[in-house]
Amino acid sequence: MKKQLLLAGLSGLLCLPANAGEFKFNGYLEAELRYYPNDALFDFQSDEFASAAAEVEAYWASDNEKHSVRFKPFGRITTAEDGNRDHADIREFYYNYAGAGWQVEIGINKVYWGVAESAHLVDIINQTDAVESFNGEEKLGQPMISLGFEEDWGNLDLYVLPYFRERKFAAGDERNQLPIPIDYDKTLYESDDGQNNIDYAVRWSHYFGDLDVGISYFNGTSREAIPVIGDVNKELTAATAYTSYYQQLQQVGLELQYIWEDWAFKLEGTAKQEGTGDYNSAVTGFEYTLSDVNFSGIDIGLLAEYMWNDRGDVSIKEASLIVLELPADSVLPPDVEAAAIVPGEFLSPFDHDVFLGTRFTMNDVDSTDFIAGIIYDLDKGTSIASFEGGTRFGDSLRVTMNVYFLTNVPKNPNDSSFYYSRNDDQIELKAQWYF
Amino acid sequence: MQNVLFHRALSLSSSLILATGLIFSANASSEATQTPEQKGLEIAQKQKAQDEGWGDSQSEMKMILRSPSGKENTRIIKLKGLEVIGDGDKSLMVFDQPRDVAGTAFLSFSHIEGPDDQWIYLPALKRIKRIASKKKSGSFMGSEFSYEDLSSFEIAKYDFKYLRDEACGDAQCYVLESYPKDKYSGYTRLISWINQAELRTEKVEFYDRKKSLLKVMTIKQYEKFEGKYWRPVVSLMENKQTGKSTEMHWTGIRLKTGLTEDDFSKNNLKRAK
Repeated sequence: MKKQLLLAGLSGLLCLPANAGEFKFNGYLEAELRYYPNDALFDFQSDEFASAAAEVEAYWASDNEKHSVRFKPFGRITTAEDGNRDHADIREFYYNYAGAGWQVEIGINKVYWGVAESAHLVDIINQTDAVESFNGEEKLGQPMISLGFEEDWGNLDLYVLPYFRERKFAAGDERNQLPIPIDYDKTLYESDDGQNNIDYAVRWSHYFGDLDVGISYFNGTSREAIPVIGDVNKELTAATAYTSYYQQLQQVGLELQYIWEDWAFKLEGTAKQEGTGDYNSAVTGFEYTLSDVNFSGIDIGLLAEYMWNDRGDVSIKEASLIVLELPADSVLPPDVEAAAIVPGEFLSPFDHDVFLGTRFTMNDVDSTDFIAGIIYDLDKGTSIASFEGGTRFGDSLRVTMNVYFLTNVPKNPNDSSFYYSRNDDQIELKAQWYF
Repeated sequence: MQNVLFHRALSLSSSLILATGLIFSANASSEATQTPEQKGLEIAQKQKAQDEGWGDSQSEMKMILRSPSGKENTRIIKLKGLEVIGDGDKSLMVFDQPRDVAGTAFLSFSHIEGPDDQWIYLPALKRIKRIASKKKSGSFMGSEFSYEDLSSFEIAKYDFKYLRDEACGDAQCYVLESYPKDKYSGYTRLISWINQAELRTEKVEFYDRKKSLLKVMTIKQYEKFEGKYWRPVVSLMENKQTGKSTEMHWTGIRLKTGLTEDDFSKNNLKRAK
C-alpha cells in the first residue's frame, strides 16, 4: 500500500513540466547462456539455460538541475522450468531534489556502502537479487525516503525504508537450490508489522587526506533469509517446503580505507544484534596497483583480503515454530534438528577465509578488463575460484564471461552453505547490446 | 604554458604561487641577465595569469580514436570545471559514449601540492570508488591522452626553460621546455610552442621516460570566450611510436555559468548529466 502511494506520488511528479529540462533514455538488451559442467545434485535440475534480459533507464532533469527523476526497470526471461530467475524488478524509480549542500530522494532506489571487494558486510539497504547472479552483487530496488547532507564535516545520509523486499532463491530446474522448495506465502517475520516494518538507517562518511571513513547504523528487518521448516499457524502439514524467516536487526558498521602510494588498505566491520543473538564480522585487506606496467597501458591490481566472523549456530524460537519431521525419503538433511537450529557456518560461511585476486585493466580501446580470484576457507579447505571479465565489440556490444568453480565442499550440510551447490560450477556468457 | 590540453577546457587554477611568482618575475625580467630558466618560468606565469578568472566552465567533448589501420572509435564526455582560488581546480567528467559506460563519472580535486583527490562513480553498482592515483601515465579510455594530460596544470609542478623564438604557422612562437617534478610522471620533458601574441599553446611534444619522442599534440582550432579566454575546439594527439591518434572536438563551451562547489560534490556524481 505504501509502495503504491509512493508510485502514485512519483507518477504525479513525472507530469511536471514535461517540455522543459533534459531527457535521456538508454539501456541494454542482453542474451545469456549458462552452462553447468557437472552432473546436477538433484535429478530435477538442468545443465544449460538460455535467457534474455533488458534494462532501460529514463532520466529527466529540470533546466536548473534541481529536480530530477530516474526510472530504471529490469526484466529477465529464461528457459528454466518454473524457475525464479524469470523476474522483473524496478531497480530505481525516484525523484531527486538537489538543494545547496543537501538533497532529498523519494522512491525506489539503490544505495551502496562499503570498500572491500570479497565481502560486502556493511552494505545493508537493498535486498540481494539472489537469483540474478552467483556473486550476489545484483540488488533489488528498495522503496525509501533519503535525506543527504554534504558539508565540510562530511556526508550525512538519513534513510527511512517503509517496505521490505523478500529474497528469492533458485527454484524449478535451476541450480543452487536447497533439497526442498521455499514457500514464499508463509514467510515469517519477527516484526509484527511483517513486510511493512519501517526500517531506519543513517551513515556518516568523510575523508581526511588519504583516509576514507564511514560509520553507519541500521535498525530494521534483516535482509538475510534464514531457511526454517515450520508453520506460524501451527498447521501440521508435511515438511515439503522451507519458509524464510526474517528477524529484526540492529547493525553498526565501520568502513575504513587508507591510500598510501600504490596501496589501498581496507577494513569493513559490523556488529549485529539480532533476536537470535549478537555477532561480529570483519573483512580487511589491500589492493596494490601496478599502474601502466612497463608503459604498456595495462594496470594490474593485486588483492588480498581476510574474512572473519564469530557467529554461532542460530536457534529460532520466535513465531512458535513447529518443527516438522521430514518425509522418510527426503534427500538429505537438514534433519529435524537443523530446522530449529541453523548452523552459523551455513548462514555466514566466510568466518575464517582468505580472498586472493588479481584485476587486469587493459585500458585499451575496447575497455577490456577482468578480475580473477579465489576465496579459500582456512578451516575446511573449501575454495571458490572465480573469473569475471569483459570486452567491447564495436561501439555498443559488450561481451562478458563469468566463471565460478567450487572445490573441497564439506560432506556435511551443516558445515557449509555451499553443500547444496557443490556440483554447481558455472560458466556464464553474456552479450549486452547498449543503446 | 599549456602542455595540458584539458586545462583549457576544464580549465585551470589561479594560485597564490602564481601571484608571488609574477611579482618576482616582473623584477627578474627587467634585468638583462635573465637566465633561460627565468624566462621560461616568466612565460608560463604570464600565460597562466592571462587565463585567470574564468570561474567555471561547461562543455562537451568528442574523442575520435584512430588506429594505424584507420579503425575509429568514438567517446563522448561531458565536462564541468571549477576554478579554485588558492588550490588546484575541480573537474567532473561524465561519459555518454560508449553506451556501456554511460553515466560513469570522474570527480577530481587537483592540488598544487601533492597528488589529486579522485573518485570514480560506477552507475551499475551505484558505487563511488576512491582512485589511488600516484602514477597517471596510463591511457584515458583507450585514447592517446593519459590521465596526466587531463589533470589540472600547476606551475609548481614543473621546471621551465626557454629555448628560442620560432615561427609557427603565420605567428611567432616561444619554444619552451618543461620538466615534470613528479617522479610518477610518464614524461621526462615537454616542448611547447606558445603563440607570442595570444599566449596560447599551438603545439606540444611529449618525451617518454626513455627520453624518446612519444606524442605530439597540435591544436587545430581555437575560439575566444568572454572576450578573453582562448579555448581549443579541435586538437590532435598523435602517438609517434604506435601510429595511433586521438582527435578531440569541443562543443557547447560556456564559461562563468554559475557552477558552485555543490556541482562537484560526491552526491552530484550520482546525478549523471
